[in-house]
Amino acid sequence: MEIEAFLSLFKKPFTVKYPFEPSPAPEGFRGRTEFTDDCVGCGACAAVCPAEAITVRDEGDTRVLKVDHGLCIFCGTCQDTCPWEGIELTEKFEMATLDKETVYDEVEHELIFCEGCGGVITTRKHMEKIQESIKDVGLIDKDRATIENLCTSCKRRHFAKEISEAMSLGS
Amino acid sequence: MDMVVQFGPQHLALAEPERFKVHTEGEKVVDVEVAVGYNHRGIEKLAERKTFEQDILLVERICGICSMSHPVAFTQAVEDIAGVDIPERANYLRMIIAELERIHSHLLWAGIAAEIIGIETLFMYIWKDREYVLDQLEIITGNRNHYAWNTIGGCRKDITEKHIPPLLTALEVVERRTEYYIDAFLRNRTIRARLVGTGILPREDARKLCTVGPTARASGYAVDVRKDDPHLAYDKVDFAEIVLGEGDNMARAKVRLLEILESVKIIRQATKAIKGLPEGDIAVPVAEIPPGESVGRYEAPRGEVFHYVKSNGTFYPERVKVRAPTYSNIQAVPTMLMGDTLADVPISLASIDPCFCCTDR
Amino acid sequence: MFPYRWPVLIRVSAVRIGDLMDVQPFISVLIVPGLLFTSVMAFLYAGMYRKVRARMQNRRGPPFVQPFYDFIKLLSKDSIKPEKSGMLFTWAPIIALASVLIVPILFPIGGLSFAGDLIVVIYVLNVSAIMLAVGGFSSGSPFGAVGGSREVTQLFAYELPLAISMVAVAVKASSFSLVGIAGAQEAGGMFFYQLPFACIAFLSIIPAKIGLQPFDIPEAEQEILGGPFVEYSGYRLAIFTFANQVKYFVVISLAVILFFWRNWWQFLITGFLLWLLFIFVKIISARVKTDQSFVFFWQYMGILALVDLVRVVI
Repeated sequence: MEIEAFLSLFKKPFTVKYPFEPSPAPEGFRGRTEFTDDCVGCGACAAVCPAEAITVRDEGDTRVLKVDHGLCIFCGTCQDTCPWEGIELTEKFEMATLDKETVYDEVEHELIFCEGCGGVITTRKHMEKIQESIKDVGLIDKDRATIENLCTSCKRRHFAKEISEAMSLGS
Repeated sequence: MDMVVQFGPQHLALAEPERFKVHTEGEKVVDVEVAVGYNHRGIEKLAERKTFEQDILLVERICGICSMSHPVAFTQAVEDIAGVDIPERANYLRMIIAELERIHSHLLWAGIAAEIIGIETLFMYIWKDREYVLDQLEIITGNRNHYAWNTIGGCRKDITEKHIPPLLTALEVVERRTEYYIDAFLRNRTIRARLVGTGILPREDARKLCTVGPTARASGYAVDVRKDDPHLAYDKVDFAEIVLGEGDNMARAKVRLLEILESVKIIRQATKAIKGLPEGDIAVPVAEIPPGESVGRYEAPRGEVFHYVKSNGTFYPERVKVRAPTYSNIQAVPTMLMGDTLADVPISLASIDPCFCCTDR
Repeated sequence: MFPYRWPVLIRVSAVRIGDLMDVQPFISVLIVPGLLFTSVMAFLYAGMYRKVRARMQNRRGPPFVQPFYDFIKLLSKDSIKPEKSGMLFTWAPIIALASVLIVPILFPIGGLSFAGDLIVVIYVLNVSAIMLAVGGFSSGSPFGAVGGSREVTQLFAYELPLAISMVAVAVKASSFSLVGIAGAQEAGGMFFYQLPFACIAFLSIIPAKIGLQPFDIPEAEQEILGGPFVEYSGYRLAIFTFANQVKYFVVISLAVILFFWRNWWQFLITGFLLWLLFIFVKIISARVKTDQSFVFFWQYMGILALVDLVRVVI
């Protein structure tokens, strides 16, 4: 140890002069959580987040999803749970800021409403993606399966009425 | 001159707050009162409000350096309740990260012990080599400390072919440097003057006070969950249990440093073993946890970690009880300190490798 | 040459003052080797200490002038006086600083001197060590009291080899003044190879005197929270720290004058080299306990110094 101490005087130090020298994170580092362009606003991430850092709020005809980096524990559960690759943990770790707005990451989606009861069905993007993903699936009646202006309860009531009308006509 | 010197809650020798009231006559210690609970955060209560999957990430944050111990013990308990057997590759993956954590935790301890007895240089050198291990953990798991590696039923990520060569290179460096540090600890006369013969814990007291981990093994009391009740894949790899007899601070230092070398051996065998197992087979899906209760045991760097989980069939556990190793070891502290001088108190306290956030949860 | 030319220059330009009184003492006390020179050297030694220590530990370390910045910063901070402390809490650092600042005035590089000033130097340096203990006791904290008692114990321990080796040097030089000892070395060669045992004994007490490993048990940061320094803050801590830094320079310079003197520029260089050696010894050592240091100083170093004293007397 004595020899090493003496020789270290002449060697380059081990420390990096961060922030004057860069110190990048490796690939796969779990850094700042951000919504991507693929987010549909389904809210699955908010349901599984252990720290309850992601909130889903419906305001008027927009749905706002917000992730609070002060609460986020950077575990990556949202990334693993999201079916659409809509949220990801980037490799950014320099999040210190004086501006409170940068502590949150928000994304807004347009909502579609039920013509029957006026309640929220889901976001337009979510509906489009669902329709996109089932368009090649073999269904008997594609038109009936993709009614996009009724929520599930109103849809059930609508089909139940159709079926009962068909049965009463038939009899 | 009778004095009461209070170590803590804030003290430079302790990384975390606990109170030790040391009664001295002159410089000799005659009595020690220990008070714990300064770091209590109510994690067990909070665990009842989160689902099993979320609880893994919660118990991970009981502590920063034991952050593989608590999730593995917890998931082992839950997997036992659910009655699932996780794939063999997942056991090896968990074991690799667990042993990497053991290496970096023991290196951390060695650095802190060196700093407390005054030789700051060794502290800087040891922590420099610890950086190589932490870099590997960051590359493999995505973070230096909270790995988020476990899920109920296996692991979340895999160790692929490209991760292994840099890992083995880092392990070579660590092995070489650990042998150098063992030599430094044993040969440097001022270090020997401080560590040899101080903080003695006899074997009978170690057994009666139920100490665990390197604290017990250095006193000749051979307990090691990896050998007594093999979990993960410890029964499939070959390693030695380090047991020494003196029970003083130097013995505890030697046990930890030698265990680093054993961990390197384990990781090398594990990386060879996973080459033969299919990549990607790292978890089995677990749909629901039936009612039941079980216990998960794991050998953390500080000793045996013990999780008791009770499920009542809902999404949330009914009870999670955590017993961390330092909670057992801290009861041996008065015996160790009795009769020594005041100058030995900080290093004897630090030699049980205290993790007070695990103790208080 | 330079210390002896300045008084002449000042006398030429301030001819009236020079006619009325002798300016040499004022320059010696205030400039060289007095207040200004000592302060600069103290900050330089302290800066070197931190930089060299960092580089040996694979770090970069603060800039060389960092101790000066720290001093200014501490002056601007609030100095809290504990309720249980007394008046000595404020006066201990001031007396410590005053006592160490007296010693460089007697150095043979343009300073004042009188017969027997070596004895004054020994006692005045003891005052600063005792003030450390007094500061610890007066701070009203058990850690301070423990640190203070350790300092007194260690003082008692290293006094013996210190005194014996100094007496050996004085007998060899047939003079109890620093100028006389310097003159004897200029004439007859450096004392370190003529009195090797006394030299080793004296060098071994230096870490204890200035508070460096392996004998810095009174100021142990990690164990007793800094010992005597635990309750100090603000300007009181600034003065105490500055007194310690001056002590680095003063004690090392004393070692050079007693054993390694040739002339004034070699004095400066040897001072730096000796300081580097002690930094290196500090880096590679842990802290020994009070009882172990006591045994070391009284038995081993005391006997070593005694050997040389006997040799030189006979």
